[in-house]
This record gives sequence, structure tokens and C-alpha cells, in this order.
Amino acid sequence: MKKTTLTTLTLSTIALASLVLSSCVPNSTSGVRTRDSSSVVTSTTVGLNQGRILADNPIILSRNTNLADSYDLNKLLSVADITSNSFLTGNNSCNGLTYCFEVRENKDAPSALQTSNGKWAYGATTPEFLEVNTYYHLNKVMDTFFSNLIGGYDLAYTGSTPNYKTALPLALRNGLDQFNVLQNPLIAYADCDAADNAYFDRALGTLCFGYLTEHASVKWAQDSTVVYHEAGHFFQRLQLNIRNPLAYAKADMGNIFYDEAGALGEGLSDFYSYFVNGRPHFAEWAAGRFLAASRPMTEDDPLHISAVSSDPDQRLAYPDYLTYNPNYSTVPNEDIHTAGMIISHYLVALTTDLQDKCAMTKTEAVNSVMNLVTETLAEHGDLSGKGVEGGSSNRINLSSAYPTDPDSTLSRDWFSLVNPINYRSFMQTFAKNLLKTLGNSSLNKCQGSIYTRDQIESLIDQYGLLLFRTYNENRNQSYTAGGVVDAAKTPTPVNSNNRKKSVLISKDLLIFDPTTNASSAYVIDNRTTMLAGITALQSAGVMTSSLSSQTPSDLGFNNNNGKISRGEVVAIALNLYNNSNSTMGGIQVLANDWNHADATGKPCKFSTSESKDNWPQTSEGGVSCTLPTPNATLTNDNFAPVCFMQLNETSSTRWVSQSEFKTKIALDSSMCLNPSNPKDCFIRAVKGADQAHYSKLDPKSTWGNTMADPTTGKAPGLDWGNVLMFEVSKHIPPGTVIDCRMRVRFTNCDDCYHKQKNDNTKTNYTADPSADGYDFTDVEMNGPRPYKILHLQIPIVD
Amino acid sequence: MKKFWLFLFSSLIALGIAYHSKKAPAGFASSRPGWNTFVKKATRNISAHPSTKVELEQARIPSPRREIAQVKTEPAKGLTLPKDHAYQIRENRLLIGDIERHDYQDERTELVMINKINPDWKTILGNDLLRFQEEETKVMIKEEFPVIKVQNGKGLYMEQVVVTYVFKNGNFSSFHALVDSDTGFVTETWDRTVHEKVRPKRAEITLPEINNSGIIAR
Repeated sequence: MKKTTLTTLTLSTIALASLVLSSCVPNSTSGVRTRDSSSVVTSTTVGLNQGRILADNPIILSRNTNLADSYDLNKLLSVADITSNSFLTGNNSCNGLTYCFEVRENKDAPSALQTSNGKWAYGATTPEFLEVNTYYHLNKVMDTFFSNLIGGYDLAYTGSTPNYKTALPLALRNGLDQFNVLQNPLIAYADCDAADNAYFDRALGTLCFGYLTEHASVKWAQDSTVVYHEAGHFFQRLQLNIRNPLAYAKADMGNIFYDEAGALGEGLSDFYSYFVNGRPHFAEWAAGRFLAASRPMTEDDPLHISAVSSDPDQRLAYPDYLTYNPNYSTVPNEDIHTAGMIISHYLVALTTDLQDKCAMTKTEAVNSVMNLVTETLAEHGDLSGKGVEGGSSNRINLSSAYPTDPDSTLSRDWFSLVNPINYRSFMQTFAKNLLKTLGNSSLNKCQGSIYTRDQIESLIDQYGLLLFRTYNENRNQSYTAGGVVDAAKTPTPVNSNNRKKSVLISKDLLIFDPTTNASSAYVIDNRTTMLAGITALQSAGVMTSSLSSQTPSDLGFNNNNGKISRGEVVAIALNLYNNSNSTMGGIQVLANDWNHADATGKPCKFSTSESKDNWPQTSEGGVSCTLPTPNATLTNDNFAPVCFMQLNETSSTRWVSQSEFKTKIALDSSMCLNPSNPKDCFIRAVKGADQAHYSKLDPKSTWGNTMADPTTGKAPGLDWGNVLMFEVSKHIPPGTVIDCRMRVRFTNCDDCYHKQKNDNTKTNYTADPSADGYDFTDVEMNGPRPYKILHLQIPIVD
Repeated sequence: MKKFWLFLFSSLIALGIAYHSKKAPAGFASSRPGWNTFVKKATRNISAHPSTKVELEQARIPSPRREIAQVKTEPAKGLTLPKDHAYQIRENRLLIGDIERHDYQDERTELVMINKINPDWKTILGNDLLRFQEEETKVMIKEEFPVIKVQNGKGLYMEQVVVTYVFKNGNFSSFHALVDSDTGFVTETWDRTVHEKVRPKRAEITLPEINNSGIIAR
């Protein structure tokens, strides 16, 4: 072959490849994603790099709460600076204390919108307008948030020296790290095909703003408050994971069903809207006008019922207002969005109080509040265990107590299950952060004075949230290695005189429904129902382990007889009852592995100082167990499955571990639900479905009574977050009885999160009464003391 | 002579394709660390293929253009790791867990592995994720940087993935998962999607009218 032929062949190949590749890359002349804005909007007032936007949502701009969906939104547009970029993109770099994002029309758009004339002016009904509007407001909230974060660093550090025990990691400010959950630009779909929905997809890093089914011209992206709210979820992910390296950046705000972490996440996201626009109401247009689903953030909002006001006795207080929906105030509603209103109202009230007590401007006050939110989330989300900067002054999420798994799985279990974010823990840490910043005279952030402890506690109490007895500054470090109180690390006590509205209730008052003939627990084993539950949990990522390979994919063993049979996957619903005269909030039932067996798996019979459980008797196989000291190192021996087996022998009947039962009936390990783990060979709580939540229980009421519609007297059906799910082996002998020893607690419990004097004087490791009011440590949360223990003795049928 | 060069040119292309395909995990046509789709066609019929553009769009998965913002540093299996001073790498995998006691980055440091990398882990995972789902449900899986988790001085190969379900009705959901490289089973999940459905539908689990579970509660 001649040299010229080879050259020709090579050049032709390159040319062909270039042609193919170039056709895939969007450019300014491709025509698909560009539109000459001047042909759409005739106004000449739009300058270079400017565009037209809705400065607020249409209800606010029009001052018409009854604005029709057919209204010409062009009449409400104004001109604003957009970007000098040729595409609707923010920074290209995501490094350091900065942000990167882009806005696209929808999932079909290969790239962000591009301008052909340097202007971004489009008619209000065009998708391009939605993109520009989304970009403008997303950029605005990003600017506001990151400016606030930098301000937070300025407050927390002088040079490299922390001004207080801050959770903000210095490495991020110094450019040693980047936001570990911001590896790619955030992408917002402004005209998303999601009906009646907007969402933040954490895994894919996308925001989606959909439309209303019954009013297709109404788009979520037309409402700036919705953009701020969704961006708020994105920011919470940053805030929670700001201390986590990428491999552990796994802290989520709640699961997808009802829990208080999820409620706090929604309330905080509402507050992001206020943070940007200073207006204490969310989504008047997209949700409020047509769906009656907007949310106020202040008690003086006319949407509230008359019993709610900014009077200290009429605040939107915990737990009574957890199920209150101002749009349908007579019907109880268990939903994280409405339950989150308590925190958004508190944060707005605090902003107002700081303006008053510390002579701050509204901007200064709301920035201070957001700094506190960041500090609080950063500490709680730390899965590497320190919580704050600087050595051993703090511990959180167990990890330091478990050296064989210092940074991963167990810390997440503690964060999301064993000692999770709830209204109490969030407010306790938030109050601590208030105390060490605005309550710190050396920082001089309150007009030459301080925001006092009484002021801190008084406002929190107005919201029923003064549910802690100390500020718990040192968490697990409040004890010496010997398990006694470390005098040098005494936490600041709460002044009990400030607890006027907040009610703390003994755990003993949470019981099974005592009504004659009432059921204590229900078994749901309908095949269709359970398949729906499994698929829902699995596809949402809630189920964090696989079901056994011995469970058939059609749940063929499920027989809908309301009993637990061999081979079934079942849900169990507990019929709990509040036997007190006050409302209980944040009820959580735990069926995860915990410290209630000795190293050989024999069930612990706890001493009366440890628990009132008194099960099983020594003659039934119970053994005494020594609980770890408050800051001990946990090992695998400290975790036992929730269920034991009844073993009938000729001379006795004993409760034994599943492992021992397997040996006694000579079952091969390969027949276990998990052949590599005989500890839960026969029955196990499905991981991820091993906790159940109920928003609240009214006084002397069950959940069914509490949630009943007063008109019909009927409660809504249970959701998957209200039940526990168990998997049962097909190899379990019929007639076997199982005892599942579960733990339950609630958020406004007086002996579930902190100790009482009589609690401490009876412990087996310290007789130090000064620990009165101290929080239980993460290690203690693995045992019986902080919980009411409930038993389900379950006969297995064939 | 001209035929010879054409033959050589074609052979080189064919060899390239063959080499490319051989590196791919069993059951997949593509070796790129991209997305793979599993579809449940019947109870015992789950098929797999590299995700198509249409499928990626259907799941609202952004096109790769966004990758431009990634910091190009240490490559692991063709993937990029972001800037972070804390990263430790071994066998092109991120080290996590109890990694401070020894320098496991130095591959001369002994680390006994308690599992192996099953080349079919993704197929097993796809099947497991669809096992209980309705027919025509799709699950799309994307590999992210793989992991070695050190626990009790021993190592465990694990895979990090993004999982996206796409349902028959067009709904979808995504999350991150950590997967055992040997069994292909999920061991951990995070990054679940936050929805703002204004009228969330409760599951409405119906309780049995007559409770004869035989459970004794106390």
C-alpha cells in the first residue's frame, strides 16, 4: 500500500469518528436547546446576561390568594441578572466551600439550556422560562447558603483555632477536602414529568420539579419556595455529611416512612424558604392554591386554627400538634411534612426572639439560626464518631466504642435506629450550640451581652421541646473508664423551673391496650399485602439486607390465616396504649439485635435495677448478665437477635438461643435463614423493617383512637413504617413457641434518654447520684435500661 | 497489498472488540463501568443488558456530561475518586473500616481476605433486587468505586453501587448500596429519594377482622 493510501485511510477514519462524535455534543447552533429569547419576549428592558423570572410565587406577586391557573403569569415577570455563562450552569468546579449545579428542562434534555444572544428572557408558559426561573432561585439559595456557611466558619474559627467546640471541619475550609457528597454538579429538572410531586434524588444528585395533575399549567418550578425547599434537602445532605469522608457519607434524614428525623428534615426544608425570602409560609402557589397543602411557619398565620397563636401558651407545641394539618385541622394526619411544622415554627420564633433580645437585624438573626442548624446536623451526622473538632471532647454514633468497625455500619445503625435524630436529640444539641455561641460572652454575639440559658430554655419550652435535663456537652465522655461520672465533664443542667409546657412521661405508662378483649398484636400474612410491602421497602432502599433464599419469591408459604406459619414473611402490628394523662410523641418500637443474652447466647434475666422485665426465670433458662460500663467497648457478644426459642426437654422447658435450638434439633446450618449466621437461624426481624414508628398517642388512647377521624370514628390504615416485619424459617418445627423481646420508647419519655436519680443509685456500675439527668450513653442504648420491654410469645403453626 | 492492509485494519478492530468484551463481567456486553439494566420478564426470567439511552432517560439519570466537574485523580477500575486527604487505596479499591492500625495501602502488608470477588456478583444482585418485584419492573445498577472493608484485621471485598428501580407505571426510586462482592447481596443502603408528594398514599395495611394470632403479649 502506498503511503498516501494509508494516510488517506487514517485521515478518513479520523474524519468519520469526528463526525460521529461531534453529532453527539450539543453546541450553540444545534438548535434543540436554544431559543432566541428576543423572539419570545419583546421587551427591550432585558439586558445582557439578564432574564425574566417570577421574583416570588404568583400568589404573593399578584396579592391574590384565589389566582386562577389560567392567569397570564407574564404579567408578574420581572427582570433579574441570570448568568454570563452561555449555558444555565453554575460553577464548573465543585471544590471547597463552593457549589456547582446546572438546570435542564427534563430528563430528555442532554444538557442545560444555552443562550444564543446572551439573554434569558422567555414567555412564562415556556419550558425555557421554568429553567431560567429555577436557575435564578437555585442560584439564590445556593449563594445564601454558602455565604452563611462561610460566615459560620468565621464565627467558629479565628485562623485555625476553634472559638468553641465546633462541628465544622477545618479541613474543608482549608481546601483539604471537598464536600464529599458534592462530587458531581447538582442537576435540577425544571419541567419534570412527575405528577403532583417534586423530589430530591440523593443517589443521582438531581432535583425534579413536576406539575399538578388537575392543573397541568401549574408547575412546581413556578413557586420559588418549592425550589428553596427542595434545595434544603440537598443542603441537609451536605450538613449531615460535612464531617464524613466519602466512603461514609451515608447519613440520611429519616427513612421514607413516618419518623421524627424525616419530620425534622421537612420542617428544616420549609425553613430554608424563610431563610431566603423571610416570609414564613411555604408553597402558597404550587401546593397551597390548588391542593390545600401549603404550610405556615408562624402561629400568627391566618391558616391556623384560632387555638394557635404566638402567645407562649398557644404555640404549635410538641407533641400535641404532631398530627395537626392546618388545611384539614379536624382530621389527624400522620405525615412528616406536617409534623415538621413544629421545628419550622420554633426556628422562625427564635429568629424573631434574637432580633428582640440581641438587637439583630432579621438577616443577622436568620443567619445565626442557620449556623446553629448546620452545627447541629454536622454533629449528629458524623459517622466517624467525634461529632466536633478536637480530640476526645465528644463522642457520637457509637463508633469510638467499637474499634472493629470504627466508621461504618454500626455508626449508621446508631444514627438511624438506636440513638437517632428525633425532636429531643435535635433540640438538645441545638440548645447546646445556642449556649456555646450566642450564650457565650466571649464571642459577644448578642449586643454586648448573651442570649441567656433561661431565654434559650423558655422558648424551647413554649414548643414543648424542653425534653432533656442537661445540655449533654460531652456525650459518652461524661464518664471515666471505670463507669463513674467524670467530675471535669459535668454537663450543664437545664433549669427545671423553665419546664412549664414540656411534659416528660415515665416509660412504664406505655403499655399494651388494656381494654377487655383488645388484641395486643396483629399478624399480617396476606400474600399480596406482604409482597406489596417487601417490594415497597426494597425498591425504596429501606430494606438493608436480602431475604433468605429459602423464602420463595411468590411468598408461597404465606397463607393469610392471621397466624405465624413456617416459611412466611409477616408484618406484626402492636396495639400500644398511652396510660398517662399527657400525650406521648415519637413512639419507636425496636426489634433489632441488642444486648440481652450472655456470650453463649443464653437469655439475660436482668436485675430489677436494670429493668423491670423479670424474664426469663432462672429455671426457664435465664442467666444474670453484666452490662457494659457506659463507655465500654462493644463486641459481637453484645448483640443478640430479638427472638428466643422455647425448648421442651423431658425435665424442663427453657428459653434458648436460636443457635442452641438448632443444635438441639440437629438442624444443619445450611438450613438456616442465613446459613452463615446461626444466631437467627429460625426467625429474624427484616433489617430496615426492624423498627416501627407512631407519631403520637393521646392520653389514655391507642394509636387507632388517636388517629381516628372524628366524623367517621375510623383511623387510617397502617403504613409500612408502623409495623415490624419478620421472616420465618420453613424448617422451624410446628408448635414451637418463640419469645421476641422488643424494646419501645418515646421521645418525651423521662427515663428513656436520660437517667433519674433512683435509676443511678440502683445501677451495678455506679452509685453516683450526681448522674441524675445525664443522658444514657450510646453503649447503654444497646441494653435494657432506656426502654420499656415488651414481649411477644408467638406459637408457630404448620 | 491493499487487501492485506484492509484485512489487518479489520483484524485489529476485531481484536480490540474481543479484548474489550472479555474484560466485561459475565453476562454483560459492556466493560464500561456504566449502567446495567435487569428486567423481570416472568417469575423465573430476569434478563440483563447494558442500559440504553432510553432507559437512562426514563429513570431520569443525567447524561455523562456532568462528569466534567469531577476531579480527575486516582483512577479505580476506570472510575474517578474525588479529592479527599483521607482516602486509602489497595487493589484499586477504597479501604474502609479499621484501617488505621496498619498501612494497608502498602500491598506488602498482609491482609487476609475473607471473601472473594464473584464475577457474577452484579447478576446475582440484579436477580435479588427483582426477586419479589412485579413483572416488567426494571432495576438499573451502576458501579461506583469498589471497597475493601477491614474488620477484625481481615478484609472483605465489597462493591458500591447506585440502584434505580423503574416500575411499569413510570415511577422510580434510587438509592446507594454496599454489596458483598462474593454473595452479591446488599448489606447496607443509603441516599434514599425524598419525595414531596402532596397527597402521600398510605399503604393502608388491613388488619385481620378476627385476631386469632395466638400471640401472648406482655
